[in-house]
Amino acid sequence: METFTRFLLLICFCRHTIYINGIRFPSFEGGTYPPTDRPHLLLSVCLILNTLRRTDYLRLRFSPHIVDIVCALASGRWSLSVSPLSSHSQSSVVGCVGSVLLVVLEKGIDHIANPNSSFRLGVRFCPFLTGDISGYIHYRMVGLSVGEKHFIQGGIAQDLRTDGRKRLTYRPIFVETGVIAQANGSARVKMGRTEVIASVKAELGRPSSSAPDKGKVSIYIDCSPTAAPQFEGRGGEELSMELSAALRQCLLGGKSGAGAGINLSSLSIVDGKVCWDLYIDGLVISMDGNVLDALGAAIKAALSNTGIPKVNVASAASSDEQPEVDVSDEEFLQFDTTAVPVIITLTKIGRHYIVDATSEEESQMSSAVSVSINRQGLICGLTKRGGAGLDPSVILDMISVAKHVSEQLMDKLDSEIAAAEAMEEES
Amino acid sequence: MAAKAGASPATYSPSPATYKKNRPPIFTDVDWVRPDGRDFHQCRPAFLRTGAVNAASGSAYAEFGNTKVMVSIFGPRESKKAMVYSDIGRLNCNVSYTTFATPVRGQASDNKDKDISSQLHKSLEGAIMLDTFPKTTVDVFALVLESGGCDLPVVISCASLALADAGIMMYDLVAAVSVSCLGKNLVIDPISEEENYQDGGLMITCLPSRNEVTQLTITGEWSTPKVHEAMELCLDACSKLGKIMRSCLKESASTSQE
Repeated sequence: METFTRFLLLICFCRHTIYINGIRFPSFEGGTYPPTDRPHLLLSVCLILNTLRRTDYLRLRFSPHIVDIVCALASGRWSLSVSPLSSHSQSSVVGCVGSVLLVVLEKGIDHIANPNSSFRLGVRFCPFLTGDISGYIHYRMVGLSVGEKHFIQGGIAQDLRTDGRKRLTYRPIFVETGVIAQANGSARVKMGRTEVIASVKAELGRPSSSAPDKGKVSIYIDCSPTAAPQFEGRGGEELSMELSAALRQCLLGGKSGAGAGINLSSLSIVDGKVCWDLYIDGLVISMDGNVLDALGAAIKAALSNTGIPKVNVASAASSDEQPEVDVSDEEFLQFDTTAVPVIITLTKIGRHYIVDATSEEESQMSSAVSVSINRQGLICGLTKRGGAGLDPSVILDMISVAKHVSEQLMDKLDSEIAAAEAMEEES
Repeated sequence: MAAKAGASPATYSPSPATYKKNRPPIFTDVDWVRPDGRDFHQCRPAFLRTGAVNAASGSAYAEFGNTKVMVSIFGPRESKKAMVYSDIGRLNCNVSYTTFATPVRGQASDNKDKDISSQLHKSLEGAIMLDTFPKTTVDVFALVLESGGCDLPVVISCASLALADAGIMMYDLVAAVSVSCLGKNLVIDPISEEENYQDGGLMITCLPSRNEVTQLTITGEWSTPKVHEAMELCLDACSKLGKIMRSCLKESASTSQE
């Protein structure tokens, strides 16, 4: 799959060593320059012609006593950025012409003596070390090379995608239920290299005053930095929020509760007093496109795996007292998931739409429409992503395609869930 | 379909009537009357003004019934240092509610703000020519002074008007309209009372003269014919709203010349 040859040409006006995935590349060693002849910076050109993979990271160590000018020419696969820099140093991305980026790093005099300053080139951002390190050069994959773009777009136009699928074919779906013993229900879903976990926890709570006869459901999605380095810190927040909002919209129905995948009234125990609070947490472990659909499937699987403990209410409670409830830890009620919809994301690339896009395909999308559809073929929610506008007729067409696909996906998912449950019971 | 009342902003006068409903009406009845006496397919009178804030590069004020919104645009200005280089401009949207916007003080949560902000961003980014201001950021700050239903569509329409006022290059103005599904009926431009009891909602933001949808969200359960109907209703209202927005811009341009 990752067979494109990517090359990286670095022109470094300094002494340097290159590491790829932590292994030193002796052939790329810079010349032996006298360390003090700053005015006569020697030019060293190194060319890495290798099949670098997305996950490879490069580390470039510079000799610390010079003003470094680093120029990188990449095959469109890599971009150069500097992030974050200590207050001592100044650096800026000077320009960008096509795939050539020029970064000027200036180091103060007091840093020159420090032999430990190094720059790290890599897809993983390295947290700041203490000491006088001026900065990190941070290599990041942005987009695809022109050839790869054409390859993907041309393939989709001919109904044969890079991994051999048709436009409306899903990657094989793998479902495992009961993966988290602590939760009331949980599931792991794998679609190709996209992997997510969903867990459902039920806790006793008080219903809100505006809906005393209903339980509460909250959906939170977390994007782990293990899935992509840019999720570190607060980086994943935006995507997490977008995914949570989309899932809430697709699963919880309208304000009155019509079209909800989860029947909130069934979570009520004593009207206005006690109800179940259902916490649905999703975790993105590995990301290769189509995360929303995978999360939708995982939540569906986790809900069908969920057992809500049986509750006995002590009857004698007066109207203004909190009733006593006895939660059984032996008897569980199965959660009804027939109404839970599936989510289908149609990604528009060129003039065609595809399902289950990989992240490489997603990078080429103009827009994507996620539709959630239930067993009856009714639309339970819809969101659109991507900036490009769509003609209204195209949207309606996408909805009808999604409806068609949903039937197959629903059957597939149901049989996978049933198989996973059977497996769990066996073991 | 009924045309928008108060098509010309000049004829608008703030209505003294406030809606004092104690109990929600039962919406299953076909003959029920909307709390503010409108037809099902009639929008609230739109009042739009540009240039509400002097300090901003562009601003707009919108009033749709009880929903009152103000949007200021700052920029394009230099992106924050921490941001990586970008050869297209950035759009930063932030929507906030005043504490007195909702019936219960400070009801609008932080989460809701963020959600609406990201929706606003998604609706606008398709309309703005971001490549005309590389390396810089345009800030869109929206303030919901009073929430009376349909907050998001009003914010979006108002923001696009403010962007036009700021002279940010756009393909077209962005008009946004939502409908609520109550029982069998579709009501356009719902007030918050109707929104609270809706079975489903659909919001479209579109570029009226290009007939392009930049954002579409659906909640609740819908059949395909109903989606068709609602979309048509919204698109028609969007094109009418677009005209009102256009006339508002023209008016402010002609008054500034005088």
